[in-house]
Amino acid sequence: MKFIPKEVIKIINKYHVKKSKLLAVLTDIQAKYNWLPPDAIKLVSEKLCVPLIDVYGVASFYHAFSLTPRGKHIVTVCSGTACHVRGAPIILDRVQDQLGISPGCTTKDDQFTLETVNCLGACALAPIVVVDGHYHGQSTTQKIDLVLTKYKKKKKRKPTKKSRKKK
Amino acid sequence: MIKLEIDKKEIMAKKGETVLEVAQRHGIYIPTLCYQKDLVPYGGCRLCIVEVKGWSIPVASCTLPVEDGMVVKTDTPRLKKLRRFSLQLILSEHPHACLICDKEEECAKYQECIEKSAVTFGCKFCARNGDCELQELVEKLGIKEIPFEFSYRNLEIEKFDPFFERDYNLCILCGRCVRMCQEVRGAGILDFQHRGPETLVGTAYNLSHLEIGCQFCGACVDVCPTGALRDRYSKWLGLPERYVKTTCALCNIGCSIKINVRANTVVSSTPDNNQICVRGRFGIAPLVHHPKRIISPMLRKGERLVEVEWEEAFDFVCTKLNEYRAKTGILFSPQLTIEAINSVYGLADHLQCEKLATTSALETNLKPLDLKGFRGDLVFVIVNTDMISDFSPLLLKLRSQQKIKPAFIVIDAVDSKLTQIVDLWLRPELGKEVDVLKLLFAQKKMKNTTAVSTQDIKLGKDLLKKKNIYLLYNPYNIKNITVPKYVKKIPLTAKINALKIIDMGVDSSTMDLLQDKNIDCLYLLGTAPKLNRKYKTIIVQDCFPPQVRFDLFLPTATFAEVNGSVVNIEGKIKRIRKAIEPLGKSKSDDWIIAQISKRLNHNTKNRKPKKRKTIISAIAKNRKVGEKYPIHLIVRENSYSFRGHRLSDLMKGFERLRGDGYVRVNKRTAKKLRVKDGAEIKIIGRTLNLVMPARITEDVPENSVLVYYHPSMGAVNSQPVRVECVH
Repeated sequence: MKFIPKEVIKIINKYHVKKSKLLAVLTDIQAKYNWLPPDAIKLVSEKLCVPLIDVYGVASFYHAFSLTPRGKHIVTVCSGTACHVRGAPIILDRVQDQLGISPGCTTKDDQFTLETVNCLGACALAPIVVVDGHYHGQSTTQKIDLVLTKYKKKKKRKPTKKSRKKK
Repeated sequence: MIKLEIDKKEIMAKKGETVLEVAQRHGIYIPTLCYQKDLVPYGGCRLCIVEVKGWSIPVASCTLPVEDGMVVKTDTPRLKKLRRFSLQLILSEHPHACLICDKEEECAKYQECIEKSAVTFGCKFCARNGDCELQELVEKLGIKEIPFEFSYRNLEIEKFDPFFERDYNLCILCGRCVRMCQEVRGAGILDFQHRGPETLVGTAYNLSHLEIGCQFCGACVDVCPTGALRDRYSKWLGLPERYVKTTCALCNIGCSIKINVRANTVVSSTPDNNQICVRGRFGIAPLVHHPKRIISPMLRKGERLVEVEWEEAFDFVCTKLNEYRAKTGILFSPQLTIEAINSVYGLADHLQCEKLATTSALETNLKPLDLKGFRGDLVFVIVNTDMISDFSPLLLKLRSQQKIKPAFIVIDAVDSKLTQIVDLWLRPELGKEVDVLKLLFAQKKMKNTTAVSTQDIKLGKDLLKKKNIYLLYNPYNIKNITVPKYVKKIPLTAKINALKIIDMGVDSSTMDLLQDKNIDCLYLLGTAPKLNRKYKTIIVQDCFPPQVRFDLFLPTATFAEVNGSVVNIEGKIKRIRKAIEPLGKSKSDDWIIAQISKRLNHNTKNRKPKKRKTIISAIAKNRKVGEKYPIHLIVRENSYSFRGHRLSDLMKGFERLRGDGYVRVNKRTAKKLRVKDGAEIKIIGRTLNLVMPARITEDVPENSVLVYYHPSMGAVNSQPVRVECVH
């Protein structure tokens, strides 16, 4: 998604241009673009009168913020102890093969970002994979294939829907 | 008052103090690493832990406020063990091969190293070896081994910035530099990034300090306990043997500094429990030992310059001065000591010379600045003055004047580091600064023709309401300021001793002196202006070779090599102490002039020099930009100079930071004129013709160019000009 200054200013105004609302502003920008573009960070620093380094420090501190572009769908594979024992490495391998990327990377078409997490606290569902906030517990390689193809298809369907409407 | 017991000693303390502060005041040693006086306690290193009676676990004393009846123990076996553990953890991320080496003592003597630890891991190859707080602590806590795996960050050493280098492999994340940069300097350049084991100190997006707008005040370097931040110039000069408390004479603030000396070499200059700027921190040592300095008298014989003895030089001076007498013109730099200025006036009186001038920007209503006189709610309106570049220690003092943070409003067409941190920046059209002031203080509605939005003016008016308003401006950069009486005007000039010179008076301005046709002999003390015509004799008394053709050069010592005093912006007389003996054959200014006076049979003792009437030449008319001269030339006072020499000509670091030898061109204007960055351009005005390399920026407004005044430019003032490429 392209960075548009007006949108960021809208977010800043939503929080009444207050310094104390820095975290909320960044969260909204992150939700909008799935990452924090450098220009957006600079704009926030200028508008809120906070030194650039302070904004950058906050953005780099929290795991919820990303300073590199991320895909439309975020695939999180849990590699905690319970998941590990129940075969998380195999699942991770499968996802890597399917998407063609290693953890922390984004596919070339900006659709998927693969991440690993140390524990999601849902060990009863191990091994667990989260796609866009939806939990897929007790997953197997077959299940993962199905889930990923579903998301891949979603991407293809969207433009057809729009084109139908136009017709 | 609060009564408490530390190590079985009964101690009285004030409310709000911390246990560490009280203990340190009473000479009780508690090891610290992240604690730094003047900074808000951080409690990061956990070395200052103490045991309090009744508390189950030890607590960090730097963040522990004193309480009545507290019983504190600072040195128990349990604490020692814990401290050792903390330091071992810290050292597991800091190269420590030499720190725990059992052959350390022999190593210093014979430079032997059986362990052959890698260069990057050894203390012997660190610039701070011997001056390192970690070394001290390891010795005091008696650490012999580190039971953890050593993790080396393997980062590249950052050497691309001027003045100091950064090796974050040595950083222990104590956060002193970060707190210094944010709390004390208010600059916000450094901060922690990322978290957990990846935590690092650095700038946003790891940009260089130059790009990010660092002032290079060096405060972070001075508080670093390790070798992570180090001064580039003094890196391999060795540890200083002694220091001399003196005053920095590079600008009008006259900050107290310490000059660190090792065997008649100035190693570095550091602040003396205060804040200083880049000039005082990094400019003095390279200036004193500059390779271009001339340290013996030079006489022109025929076409050649010959090194001569002082006697021969004095003979030459005396015959010439006796010959020309009143036909001598004396032009002196304000950056001399008061004693030297007095003797210059004495000499001028003896010669009956009525052509005495200085290169300082003169303003007759200059008054001492009373820092303690500020009362109530304060607003400072700053016009056309870059307080951060020129007067940053003063700005910090103004900020901390009152408990309530004063408001700052800047009126300036030129962007600077200052405009980023103030409450309100009004950017008018060029030359309309005075109009903005009128609008701000107007009671009735006025027509706004200044390009500043009415909304901003309203914001400014709101800030000014019911407050004590002070107007800060540099008389060199803005003329004809008129404000209501309740606004106190504070003119700031960059050159030291300005108050002294105003008091003594001068005969004419520099330009008038150089246009005077009756002068045959020119005596230049620490300044080399552009000369319009030929003189029979030119005598130069300076540290560095001037750009003019001279007949005799008398080498003088810099302010680090003489005793004397200077008057600063507050009207205080500040002592200048001799840190090292004058280099080579160079001598102090007052000694040279005293010797000349002696040979001219003039008794300098007990005679007060005559006061002179200052005549300031008429201000040039504010002309408008026309077809022939479409571009505005802005001229600003250069506060980065020493005796008429630009610091940026002498030192590479200042050239990169300031680039005073460049003319600043607006980006869009440069594109229109097809000027390239670094290319030489010609600036042609009604009365001027300059050739300078260009630096393209967005700081200056469109259709304008900016230069920092230097005597070698000749008569230059703000006026419409035409810009042409040289090629």
